[in-house]
Amino acid sequence: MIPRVARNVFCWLVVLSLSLPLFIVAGVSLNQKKLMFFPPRGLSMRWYEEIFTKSAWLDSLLASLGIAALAGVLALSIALPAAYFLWRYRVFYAKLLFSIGLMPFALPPVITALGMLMLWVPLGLAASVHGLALAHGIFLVTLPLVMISLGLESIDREIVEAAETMGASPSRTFSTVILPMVVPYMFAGYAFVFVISMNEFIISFFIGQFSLATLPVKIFSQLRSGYTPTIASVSVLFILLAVVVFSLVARFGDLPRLLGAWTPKER
Amino acid sequence: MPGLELRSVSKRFGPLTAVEAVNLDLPAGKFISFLGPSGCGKTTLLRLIAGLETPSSGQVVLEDRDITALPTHQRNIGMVFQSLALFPHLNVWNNITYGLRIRGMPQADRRRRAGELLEMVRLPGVEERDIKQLSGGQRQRVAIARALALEPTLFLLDEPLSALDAKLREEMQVELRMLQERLGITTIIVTHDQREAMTMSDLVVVMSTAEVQQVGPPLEIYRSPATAFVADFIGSSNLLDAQCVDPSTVRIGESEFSVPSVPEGARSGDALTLTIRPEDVHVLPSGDTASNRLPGRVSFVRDVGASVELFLRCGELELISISAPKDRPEARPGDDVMVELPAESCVVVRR
Amino acid sequence: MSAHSRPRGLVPHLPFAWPALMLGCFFLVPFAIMVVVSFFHRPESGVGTYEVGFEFTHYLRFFSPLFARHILITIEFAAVAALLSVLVGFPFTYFLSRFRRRPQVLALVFILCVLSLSEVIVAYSWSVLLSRSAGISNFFVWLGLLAKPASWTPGYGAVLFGLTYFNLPFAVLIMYPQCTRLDTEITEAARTLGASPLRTFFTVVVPMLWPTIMTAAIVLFVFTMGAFVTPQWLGRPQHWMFAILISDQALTRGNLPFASALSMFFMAITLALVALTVRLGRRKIER
Repeated sequence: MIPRVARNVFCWLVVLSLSLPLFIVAGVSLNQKKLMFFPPRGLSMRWYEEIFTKSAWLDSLLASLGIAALAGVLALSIALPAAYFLWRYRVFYAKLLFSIGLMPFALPPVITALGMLMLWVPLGLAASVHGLALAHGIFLVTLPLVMISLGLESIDREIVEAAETMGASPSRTFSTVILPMVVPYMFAGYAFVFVISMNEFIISFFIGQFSLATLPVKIFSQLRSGYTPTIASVSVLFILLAVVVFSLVARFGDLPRLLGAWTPKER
Repeated sequence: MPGLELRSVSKRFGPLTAVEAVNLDLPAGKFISFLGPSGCGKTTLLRLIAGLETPSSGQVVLEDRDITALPTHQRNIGMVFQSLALFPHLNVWNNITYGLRIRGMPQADRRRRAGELLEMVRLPGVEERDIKQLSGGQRQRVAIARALALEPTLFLLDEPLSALDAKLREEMQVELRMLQERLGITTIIVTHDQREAMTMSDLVVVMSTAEVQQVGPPLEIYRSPATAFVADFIGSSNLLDAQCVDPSTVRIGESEFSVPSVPEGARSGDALTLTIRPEDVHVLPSGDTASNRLPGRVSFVRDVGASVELFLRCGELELISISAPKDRPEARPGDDVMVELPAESCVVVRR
Repeated sequence: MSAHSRPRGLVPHLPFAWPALMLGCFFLVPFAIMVVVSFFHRPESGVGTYEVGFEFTHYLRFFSPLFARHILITIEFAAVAALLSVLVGFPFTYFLSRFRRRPQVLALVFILCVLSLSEVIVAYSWSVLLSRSAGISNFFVWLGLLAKPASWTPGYGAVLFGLTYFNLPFAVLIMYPQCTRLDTEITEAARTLGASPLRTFFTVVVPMLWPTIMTAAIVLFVFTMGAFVTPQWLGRPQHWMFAILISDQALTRGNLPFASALSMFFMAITLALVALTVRLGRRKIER
């Protein structure tokens, strides 16, 4: 295609400019003084220690982890049956349910956040870990829903029919044939919900009601009240988390396939 | 007239060798087939000629000009792809004249040329159609017209007929051959179907595992295969392990057979392969011993109407004999027979 | 199993029940509440409360120059950022889809990492990058391109950069599946017909993937419309996008009916613009 050199230069430029801010943040996080300099002046790991020693940061970290873990479970519990139901029976209400599941990503998230706020407050769900996990589980359901559907679409229906001719009931077929084949897609879906929930801001901001702060919300309010390099070190922690999770997904799953890649020659 | 020349062309993909030191001299104006099983490197060879792959070593020379480093779009070739690769966003006539538009031909001229080309591939009047509205055979013709629109020096086809059903495929084979004869264009087709190669080509290049096994006219390849692989791949063949005795005799098991010749340089005791076409194997009633005959037993009879196949067992050897229904020998499974391998039909190759 | 049989009886419907219940209660009901509340009355003194009622007061408040300005700047940012990210993202995604497998997986992991970054972190890193003390201007000074370090934030350009950066990984992931589906034989065919690589890109790749490019542009547009942290951080108050106004009304001023009405209005505008773009895009294809 396009003369190879030009193409490679272009791709590297994009990668470089995407990683530029990350490098700077990583550099800033190593500053010794409580000031923002790049390149850093004096090297120190104290801003990393602060995340785990200062209770305000540690509380936020633990809250974020708990919310992300629960939200992933909830999103999967909704996405798996919904995707299966649509795959198995192409009835109109299955399609409707599926489109509702896609909606959180088709609307400006601030609208979802406001709507949820007005239900969560009267139900007493606001500003609680389980309340936020519920909000994230619903809001991020689109990711596992799309991924599990991709996984189901790749199953040859004749395999299911073969299981049925051998006497497997629908539930048996589901647990012995279909489920094992979509497990990689569920795993990836969970990883996506987990990482994005950790990073999600606006829903957490609305539902948290200033009293429960996830890490992004904590960073946000810290920046308002004054700069501290802990913000940079938390950001680096997030980047590392994403690198680890997605590398694991790529290591144990077919990442291009999970993201919808499909070349005509495969069939 | 100088044609296409490949000088020790190799192509490696990482640890895999797709084409190994291929030397070919293909005359201009001929219809040439690259024939071989899937994975033998024939498509890679075609893509090297098209410039879609760059050789790891060696040169591609077209009409005495080294084109090894020339990018595809400057080579003036026409190519029909396995998937046909018609542009779904363009209609028929825009597909056909895509190359002409690149060259800046005015729209009216292109329109006229599209008509001529469709006439040539016997599909007139579909200029305005969408690609989706065409049948498989019609798409085939559009792809051929598109490849020929620029009057290329080389016409390359990568298994273009594999998607068609058997009847349509045979029609297109004849038609392609007639088209090529009319235009006199150097044409290379890649195929794994030996019947297709035999029907169309002036010259067949048989390939296996990255190497060229034999180059020659179809009948020559059929009659005197150079290797056991060619003998087996071109039509079915009986391949028998043999040992060289002298330049006109080989031994199979305990019996000796006279043959027209053995490969050059073969010495007494060398391991060879005797090949013989099933239609050359004669089955005679039991008892008439003579030279080049073996006693055997019929294990299975397959009568497919147009021909009769006898599966024979002679001691350790298994042989197939094919005969026309009218020459059908009176034999049923279990009968003892005498199997004759006429000396003039035996081809001996290295193992 | 016939491929698309109908579910009969209660048991086959069980997998439908839980997702329908959850999405109904916790996604559709909040929506309904918002629609209803947008017509409710807001008592003078009540922060975060509302009274049952039916009035258009909140909707009428839109007709002020302030809201017009903010909705216009929101649309402008969303449109320009969506366009920029598709412009950079499409060639990148297409090239990426032609990579060999290993580099392709690596690039995807990288893109996913950037994508998962919180808007807060992205905005923050850009504010660092564009700042005087730690920013890229120091690098330009070192190169001799600038006389002294400059601060480029807050400002219009900073917001635009931040938004585009935030969008780019999404652009890549939206266009990636269709890019991988483009058969290499198609571009090879164009090359055998005498089209240079650049020519092939514009006469074959772009037209064939045009619907994908349009889809990505629309999705990113909607997506950027809701930007919250980036404009607040990297922009001045006149650059504040609509999401900030909604949150300001809902959280700071506690005017939930008005925030709801703003949301309804915002959603309507977004959907109308999407519908318009879809129509324009379709016309372009037919042409």
